[in-house]
Amino acid sequence: MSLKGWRDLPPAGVILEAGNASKYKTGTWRSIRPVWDVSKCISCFMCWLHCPDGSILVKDGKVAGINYDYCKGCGVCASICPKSAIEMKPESLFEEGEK
Amino acid sequence: MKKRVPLTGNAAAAEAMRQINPDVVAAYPITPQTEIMMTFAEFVADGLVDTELVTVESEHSAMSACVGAAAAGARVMTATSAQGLALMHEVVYIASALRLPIVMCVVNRALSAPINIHCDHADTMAERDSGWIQIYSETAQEVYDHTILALKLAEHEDVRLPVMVCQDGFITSHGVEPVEVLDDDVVKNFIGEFKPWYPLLDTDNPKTYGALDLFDYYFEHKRQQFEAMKNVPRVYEEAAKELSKITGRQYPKVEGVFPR
Repeated sequence: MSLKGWRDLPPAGVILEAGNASKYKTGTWRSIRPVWDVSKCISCFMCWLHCPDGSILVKDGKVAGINYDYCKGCGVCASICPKSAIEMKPESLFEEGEK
Repeated sequence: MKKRVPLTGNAAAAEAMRQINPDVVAAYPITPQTEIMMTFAEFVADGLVDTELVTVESEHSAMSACVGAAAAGARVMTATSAQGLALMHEVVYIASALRLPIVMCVVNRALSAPINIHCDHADTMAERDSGWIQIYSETAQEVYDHTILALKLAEHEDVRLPVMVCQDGFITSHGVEPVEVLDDDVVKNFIGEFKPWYPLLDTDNPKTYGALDLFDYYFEHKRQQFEAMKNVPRVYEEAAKELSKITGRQYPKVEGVFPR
């Protein structure tokens, strides 16, 4: 993606488009990642309720996984889960193209 | 018709503020600026202005309220001195970087310690690099003229930066001098109508102020601010020339210490 120059940007960092935070993928900030185990999950939605980034995916009224585009790896979901269905793992385990 | 009246520097600033009739003024009293807000509060109480006067609990809150009101689209003014300006410091940078053309009357006073209420310029010198324009006034007449000029300069399309109109504590602020005051209509016509760039109260076009700005665009926005500041000498001269035509007085960018 090519970035705009100073002449083409609205001044003062004002954002003229509503709801564009979704374009800023903050998942790269994560150092540990929640890994969700579907077999243990009872879809109680405690993780969905507590996630500060709205990164718990829901489908057909059930928890369906984690949106890694925005999850910053805070670990609240793993901490709150009553069934230990979410485990925090180091991001280094998921790196590609290394080793 | 111009009239000559005896005014202190503070009263001259308040008189200019009355004629400017800003939408919002948020301020906290501090010596030697107190008289500006005291006089202006009387104008508000007497219904001589339409201003929403926000009395806050500190200067940090005063500048914060000014930033909020200016982002909402209001023409905003305030006033302070010394410790008050120092307490505003954090928000002073926000006002200039958000390109909000707030005009602030600063009555220069020594920063503590030792505590002292009289003039030196340490308070505004500390804000020299804050992205605000600073105009220094030697007489009550200059305070009056510069305050009106500052509005024009701050709100100019090529500038949109806040301005401090500075005067010396007590020496200028409390000394009574003859001041030539313009008619209300003349001032109103000179400053014109304020057209905010991106008013938050324009709710049909929602927008965000003060979002996180990292390595991708931070310097682009700082460059815009710098380019606006580079326009100041030109815009100042244009506005000064226009005001000179009305008042017959000159407003050079730099004045020698010893007049010819």
